[in-house]
Amino acid sequence: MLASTLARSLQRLTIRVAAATQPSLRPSLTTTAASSRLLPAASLQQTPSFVAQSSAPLARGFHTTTPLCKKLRGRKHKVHLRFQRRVIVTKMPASGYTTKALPCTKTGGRDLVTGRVVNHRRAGGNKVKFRMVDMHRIGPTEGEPLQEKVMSIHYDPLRSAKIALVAGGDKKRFILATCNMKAGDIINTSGHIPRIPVKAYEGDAYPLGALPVGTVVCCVERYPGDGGKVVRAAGTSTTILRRVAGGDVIVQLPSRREMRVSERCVAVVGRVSNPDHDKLTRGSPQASRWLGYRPKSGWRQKKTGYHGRKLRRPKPARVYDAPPVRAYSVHQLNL
Amino acid sequence: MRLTLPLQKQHIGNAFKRLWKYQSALKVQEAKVPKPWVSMEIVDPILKPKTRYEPFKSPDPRLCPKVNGKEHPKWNDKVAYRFTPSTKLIEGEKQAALLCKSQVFYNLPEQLQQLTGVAKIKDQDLLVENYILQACRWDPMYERLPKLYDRERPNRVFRRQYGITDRRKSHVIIHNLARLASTLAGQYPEFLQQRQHIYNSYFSCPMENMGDLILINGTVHIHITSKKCLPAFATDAEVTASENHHLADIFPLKQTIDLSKENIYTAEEQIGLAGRTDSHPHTLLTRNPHYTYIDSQLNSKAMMHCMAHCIIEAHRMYGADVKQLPQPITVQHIGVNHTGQVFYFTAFQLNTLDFSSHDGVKNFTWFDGGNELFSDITKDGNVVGYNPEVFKKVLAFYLNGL
Repeated sequence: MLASTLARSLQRLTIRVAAATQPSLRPSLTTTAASSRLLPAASLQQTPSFVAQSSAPLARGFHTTTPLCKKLRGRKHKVHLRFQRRVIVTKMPASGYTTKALPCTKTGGRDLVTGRVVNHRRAGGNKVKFRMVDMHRIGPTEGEPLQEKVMSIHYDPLRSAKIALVAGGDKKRFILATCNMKAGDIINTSGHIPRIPVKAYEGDAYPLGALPVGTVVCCVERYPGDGGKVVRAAGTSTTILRRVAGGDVIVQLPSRREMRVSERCVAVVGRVSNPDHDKLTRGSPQASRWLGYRPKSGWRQKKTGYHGRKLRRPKPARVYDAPPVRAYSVHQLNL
Repeated sequence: MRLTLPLQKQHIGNAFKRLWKYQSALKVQEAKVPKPWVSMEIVDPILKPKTRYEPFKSPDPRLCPKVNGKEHPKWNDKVAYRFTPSTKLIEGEKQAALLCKSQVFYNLPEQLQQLTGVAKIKDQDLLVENYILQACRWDPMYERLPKLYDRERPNRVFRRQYGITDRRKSHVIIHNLARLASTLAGQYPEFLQQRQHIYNSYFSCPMENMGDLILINGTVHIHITSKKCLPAFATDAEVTASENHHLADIFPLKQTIDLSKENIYTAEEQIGLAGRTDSHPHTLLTRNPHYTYIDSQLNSKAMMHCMAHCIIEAHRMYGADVKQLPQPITVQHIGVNHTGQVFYFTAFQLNTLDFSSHDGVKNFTWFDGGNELFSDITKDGNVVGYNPEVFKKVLAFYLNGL
């Protein structure tokens, strides 16, 4: 009896370990130390890390604009409608970063691990290609800022904003384009926080602590060195509201909710490109099929808003003081 | 008498006799040997000793252990920057000028300008138009062509196209034009001994540029060689005056930004003229399959290929340790775009081998790009917008250095 329960629990454990140790399916965020507030210094200087960067034999990765797959964090799985722009890149280059557009397949609304349908509104659509967009605007903490030249502005099918091909020194990369960015511009990237706030121009990236209060920024990090995570959709922007004690900064998100992050979190000055994205209409229901959406089932009655919305107190600022803790621990088993 | 069918039959015996009266005598014309060939010695291929071909047996790749990283026998600690034919220089001619340390002129050198229109072949425009039709219309190739795509209406599905591929078109045009140019030997018999066409000649050239090791390799589709060196395009006074020329800056980009970094390589010089010590590179004809390249990027590729050939030629003529050239070395280049329609003429002169800094004497490059041979072909098979100047320039390039 005891042996059988032990065997069953062992089996359960090994399944979990397998899911956690698959390099391509493991988000880069959860690999770091859970309790420390700041990421280790080595991770700040490393080359841009992508969700599917590893050159493991199973060279598969996925790109998502949503919070990372909840199933893999060990929580209860939930059907999420924001799984729309998720694709599987079948051949990741072994050399790491590339500016080439990579061929990819679609999930078809299925879970990558179990293979079950988790979103019934995904099927078909035009073929799309995946471009590695670098959200890590990491600059030198001392001395002159990193200077890069904008070579061209590109369309990216996997996001609403446009992307810019920038080149500096010996490297080329894609970054998120801001509204007035154009070919030929030179943009700065710095990690230095001076005593007097810097005079920043659009497209430059600085830590929030280096920018004056009231600056309009986008592509903001939640944790230092983590890469821009919020305010990345087309035409969005956020404002630096105030500084608070303890080296933190409060910014107001597009949803009017306030966010409290470290002053070392990097943000890009300006507004995200393609501001007219919300004014575009698809024209026909068929056009949404080209984008890979299946029709909704059933009759959906939209709320009129006639009586107005309920007045509630604004929620307190959301504090990002420590990276999320992994919900389970990983044990290496030996026989 | 009724004219029946047997009566209307022709008498074969009489007809044969009548014909045999004139055609029984066979007239054989005397063979005319061209003058330059009279002095050449004759080698009988039957008496020539035959060597049996033994193919190279490569070991089974399944049994070979895969070696990567530092254990690889070709591993070098110094990183090399590789320029391949598919390398697209993002800043185009500006970037190539830094890599080649070259001053750029946007017209042909005077020597070539004077030669255009000097040599003429009988019915040359009619022949070139026929070659265009041969490539684009009469070729029997029937293959699946790439899918048509409308950027404004991405969901539009077009009927699949079949026909002659772009690769075939440019191949036929470039080979025919080179062959037609070689028929100048009728007027200039020296060409029979001087010029030689080498097809698909591979080359690779290592060079040091500002402390970086750069490896240039590629294939020239038709490499025309000459037994005489090409004369210099620019005078000595112009060469010394180039010390005052400043190369354009591409800050914040480094000039090697587009070249791939490698640690596994062999830095050795190769050229298609391996056994021919008395031949010198004259003109390089290449077709470019890159339909996304702009003119500046095609020109920059031509410049890099010319420089590689010049460096190898300098080492062949004056030894591997040569620093200062006794005489400048020149090479010509004719590039064709992916459809075989647009021609890019380049002339290059190597004045210096000192690539350690941007100061001092510069090399010279002359560009004449965007020469459209024809604009279109109608459905009933007529060439539209034929430009006779293009083939005149090809003849001028061929005639140069006689």
